Amino acid sequence: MSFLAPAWLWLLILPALLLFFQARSGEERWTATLELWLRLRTVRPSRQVRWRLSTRMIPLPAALACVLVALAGPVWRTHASEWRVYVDARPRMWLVEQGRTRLEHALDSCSAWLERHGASARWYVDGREVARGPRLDTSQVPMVRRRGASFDAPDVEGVLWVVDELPTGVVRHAGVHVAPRSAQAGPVDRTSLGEQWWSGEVVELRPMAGAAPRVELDTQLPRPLQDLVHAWALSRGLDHDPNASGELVMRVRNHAAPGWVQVAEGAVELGPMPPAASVGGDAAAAYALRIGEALDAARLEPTGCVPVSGRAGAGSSYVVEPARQANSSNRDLAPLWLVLAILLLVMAVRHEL
Amino acid sequence: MSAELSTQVHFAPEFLRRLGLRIEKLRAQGLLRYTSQPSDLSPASGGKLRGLTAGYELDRIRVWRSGDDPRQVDWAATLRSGETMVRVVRGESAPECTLVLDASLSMAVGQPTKLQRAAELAAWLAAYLLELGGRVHVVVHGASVQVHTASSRAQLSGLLVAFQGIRPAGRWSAAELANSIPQRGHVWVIGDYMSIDPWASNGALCTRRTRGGLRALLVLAPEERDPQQGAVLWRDPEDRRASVAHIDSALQAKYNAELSSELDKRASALRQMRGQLVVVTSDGAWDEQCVLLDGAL
Repeated sequence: MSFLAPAWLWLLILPALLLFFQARSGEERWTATLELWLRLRTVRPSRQVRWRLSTRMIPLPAALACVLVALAGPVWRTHASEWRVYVDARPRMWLVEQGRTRLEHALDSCSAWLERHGASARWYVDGREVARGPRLDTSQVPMVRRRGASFDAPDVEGVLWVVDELPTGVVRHAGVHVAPRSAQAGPVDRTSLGEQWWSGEVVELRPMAGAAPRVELDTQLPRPLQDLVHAWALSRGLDHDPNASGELVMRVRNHAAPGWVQVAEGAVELGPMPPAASVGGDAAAAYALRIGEALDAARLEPTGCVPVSGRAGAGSSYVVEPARQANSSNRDLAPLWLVLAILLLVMAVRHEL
Repeated sequence: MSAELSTQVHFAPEFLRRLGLRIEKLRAQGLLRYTSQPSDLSPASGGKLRGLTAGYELDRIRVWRSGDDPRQVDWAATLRSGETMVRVVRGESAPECTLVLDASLSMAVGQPTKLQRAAELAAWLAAYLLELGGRVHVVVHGASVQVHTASSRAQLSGLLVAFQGIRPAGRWSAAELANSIPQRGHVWVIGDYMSIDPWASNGALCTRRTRGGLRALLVLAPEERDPQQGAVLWRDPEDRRASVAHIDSALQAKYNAELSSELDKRASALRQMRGQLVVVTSDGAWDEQCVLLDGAL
């Protein structure tokens, strides 16, 4: 159980004081036989009090305590106020700002926020859970190098985003931790034509120092598919020569099932061309387009390359608070405490009458 | 902290139902009602009549007949006339009973209060006496002295209403008690009177004699009869004096002995006045306590 307004709990000193004074004075009762007690000579003067805690003294201070606890906003967190944090892990997050990566800046901000709220989190990268706990180390974050990858995260209650820019559109429910982002000149892409370099204002084409990035093809791949991949690699400025020495940005594997297409990070599995596509015409064109899209989606960014959209400056870091603090798994316990307070109050009144 | 002492007498519907049941039971038993007709005091009219009537009035003197009780022989008349003469008596027109009810602040002690139980038992006494054709006076000693009278069954409800208006207040003294006790008829003194000793040898009532008989109903609160162990700040409701007692088993035993001694003293003093003491606690069973009173009537 935790409290939304724990400051009220300081007032618990009041029922404690009430109980203290009651116990100090002992229980006061009326009697018409006081003379008998005095005659026994064993009673003490009223100033010399003895301590005594009676069950009759409990209900009133307990009722007061329950009211104060209710005011403090007790909630039962069935999942310990667990937030879902979606981390943008594209290469742009590894660009360095003031000596630390953008990812480190945003993760620190998010972790501090979670600790301040006494909450834990489940961390997601590219739609997959990578860790649980109040903190996430950058070593636990796999870089998402797919060239076509975008940051996708739900805008719902109980969700936080860790990014280097506020996505377009209005964020209604999620909290956002935005890393600082200055304009960073550097490579945007590498192809057989050369290296595209963003100077901070324009993109320049520079001659490449090394070999062009390459595609690795499975030798078992059917011939028509090999031709298709070769054509795609040529159009993207990638080297498909088996003896090429450039950086590997794509692997194409063979699969037994006809028409099979499966995309992974830097890898695509392709099955034999289905009979419908073998006859040519629109079906063949559609199939080729589909294969091209799959290869584009799986291709990795060359090391160090970040698109212009990730290199342009956007300003310093900031935090967008989530619309609601409490996770939907919280259960409000205040009514329960109030009912308990009423019951105790009734008990106290019955004792007094 | 103790509750404020302000609870007034209240007769719950359940109590009135039980009172009605007891009255019906009394009627079903066919108890003898008082009569102003002459009686020969035959054995059939004994027990109950003898206990309740304050005395008998002489109706006439006649010649002894076979079967007459030898105790009825009037020896003086026999000597004068030369024949054995017997006295024929009749009961008094109706028994007269005064219920003196202590409504001082000390009667507000207990749960239920001593005053509540005292009023409930007084209601039963009044109902019983009215059923027997008697006349009942109720003298309430509270903040002031109030007197209520009922002389027929129909007036019982009026008495009950009067009881329900009683609120504990003030304190009573032995002198006030003595003044409120009439010289004739039965008298029931109902209260706690633990702070006064009205029947002690030097008490205010030691010379007070009632012609009918004096009975006392002493009501104790549960904590007065059987105090629980622990530290308690005792406070007297009438003079507000207070004392702290740490009650352990030894002190509990001493208190019980002291209380028994006090009650014995009061009972003994009453016996010397041909009276009787009945002690009850305010949380006891009302029906059982009524049976105790029936025995003392």
